[in-house]
Amino acid sequence: MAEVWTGSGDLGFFAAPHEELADLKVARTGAGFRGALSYTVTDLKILTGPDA
Amino acid sequence: MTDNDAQQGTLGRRGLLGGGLAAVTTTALAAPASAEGGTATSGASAGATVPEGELLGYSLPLSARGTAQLVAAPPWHYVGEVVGVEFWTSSDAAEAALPAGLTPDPTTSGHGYALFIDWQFSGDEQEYLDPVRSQYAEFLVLLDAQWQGAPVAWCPFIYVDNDAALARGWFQGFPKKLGAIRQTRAFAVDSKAAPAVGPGGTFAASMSAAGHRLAEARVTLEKTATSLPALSRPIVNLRHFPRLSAGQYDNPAVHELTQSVLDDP
Repeated sequence: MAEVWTGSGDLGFFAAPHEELADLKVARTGAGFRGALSYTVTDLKILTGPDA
Repeated sequence: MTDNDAQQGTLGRRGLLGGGLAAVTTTALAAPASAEGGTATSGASAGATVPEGELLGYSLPLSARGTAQLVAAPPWHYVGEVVGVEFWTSSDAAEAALPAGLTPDPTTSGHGYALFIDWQFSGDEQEYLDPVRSQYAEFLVLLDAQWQGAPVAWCPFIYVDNDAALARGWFQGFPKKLGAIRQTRAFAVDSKAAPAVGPGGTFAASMSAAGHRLAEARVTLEKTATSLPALSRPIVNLRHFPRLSAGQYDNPAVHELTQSVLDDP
């Protein structure tokens, strides 16, 4: 991570057909932020099921 | 056996071809030789069901030369710019969004993050030099939860504007759908057409899908930080690939909680 800035943030989710995002109605917001990030994926941990 | 061989074998046993999109059985599948982005595997692991002489590739479409696949085998490298907002929803709403096996985090009930990210993706072959394919945008929500009493983050919803990103997400368990995601950009030159990356700089972001605006955010910068407020918890997802066989709709080929492994590049 680099050039990370924090501050204030506003957020809204809006209802639409076939979507449930707005069911997570935003009651209040905390920090707003902006920054750069990077990572690499080569694996996945299986927590449940026959391959766990 | 190289690490990559071992890893491909491991991935293969967990289900190739989208972990079940083309799985004719739930038994092991070994990764066939990949002509792009990965080391060719010399043979099938125990229980493999990929027949000798199969078409090549890590993901569909398997093909004669193995270069037509939507997603090549890892490593998958990512770099991006995120605009995010911390939020709280009701504890009931957050709990209702959790899958079986995860429980609400009683210490941070209803807490989560909304993230808008402009990504650049690459394998090990400088795929970022093909910007049309490597650049995409993403929106996701992360909710605090617990797995066996440990703090984790659960992603109930995530949208991308790129088919390969969608497929990589499904392979990992991210429930990706297509959407249109944009965020205000900054540039290394002063202009009234862009905010300053500094105190008072304001950035906005939005996500829409199927013609409907679903999320909006606005962030005003105040001070620098050493870490992003989000991404401090391991991300747990649900790999779920249903069957299409009549009578088997409620008996998915793959149904497993997963934990993302995000390594430093």
